[in-house]
Amino acid sequence: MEMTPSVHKDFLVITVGESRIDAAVAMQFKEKMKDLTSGASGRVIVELSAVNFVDSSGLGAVVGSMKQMRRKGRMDLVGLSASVEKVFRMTRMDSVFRIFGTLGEATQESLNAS
Amino acid sequence: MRHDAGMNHVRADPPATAAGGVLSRSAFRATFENVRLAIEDAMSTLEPLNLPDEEKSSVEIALAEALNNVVEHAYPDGTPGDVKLVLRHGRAGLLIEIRDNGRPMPNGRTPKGNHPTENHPSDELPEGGFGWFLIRELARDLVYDRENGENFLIFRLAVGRKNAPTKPSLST
Repeated sequence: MEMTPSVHKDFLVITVGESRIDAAVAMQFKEKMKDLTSGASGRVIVELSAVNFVDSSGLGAVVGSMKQMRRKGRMDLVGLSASVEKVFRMTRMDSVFRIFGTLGEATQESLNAS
Repeated sequence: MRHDAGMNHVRADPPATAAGGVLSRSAFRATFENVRLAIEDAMSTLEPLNLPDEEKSSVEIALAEALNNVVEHAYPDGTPGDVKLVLRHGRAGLLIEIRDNGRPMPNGRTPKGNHPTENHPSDELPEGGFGWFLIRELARDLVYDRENGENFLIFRLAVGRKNAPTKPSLST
């Protein structure tokens, strides 16, 4: 499961390098997110632009990862492809995440919020 | 690396009929990895239909949910078994037929597919239970039957419709 963390002053970016978050890798995704965010507090931004497909298991893993983070910070999403966005929209999970088009937009938001 | 152990795949030239000419038949061992490969094969089979991206994603989502359900529920906990998938295309759209010899649907019926928050209102952020919700949203004419220990699921996706009547717009 290719997921690359990059630590910034005010946030942690996790770039997902997989093309699919599906039932075959959902558990691995959630475990890896748990590892990568274990020391993190504050804001985590998950960069998903390489991901072109998410199924309900993958969606559940993303939601689960966000729930793991909730006590110590928050998790935002960046770069949803049309298909991934569709799954979030259909299941109404688009309303429980803050979703940005690009990392730039997401981090701009971070500056404004401070 | 492709691990297509147990995968076999037959592609046929599609005769265009109303009922639906067979586009492909495949059979594979029920694993999540093989579901991934089967979806990949199915999507390449559909290439000649030149579906718009929106329709392609509907097919991919519905296929993934229906096939993953077989792996997860018909053959739970890694029970070995096979899945058969037939794709047909006709004027009404794409017909997806899935057969397996695993456990029957609970109470012999397909789940209603409510949004998971309707089933468990206390759980504000559900992590599961979206599969049938998505299938119900996307699929039409869904039929489930079981005969001689075989589950049979067929549904239609209104994509790639030939001569689809355009809806008359309600002008005001």
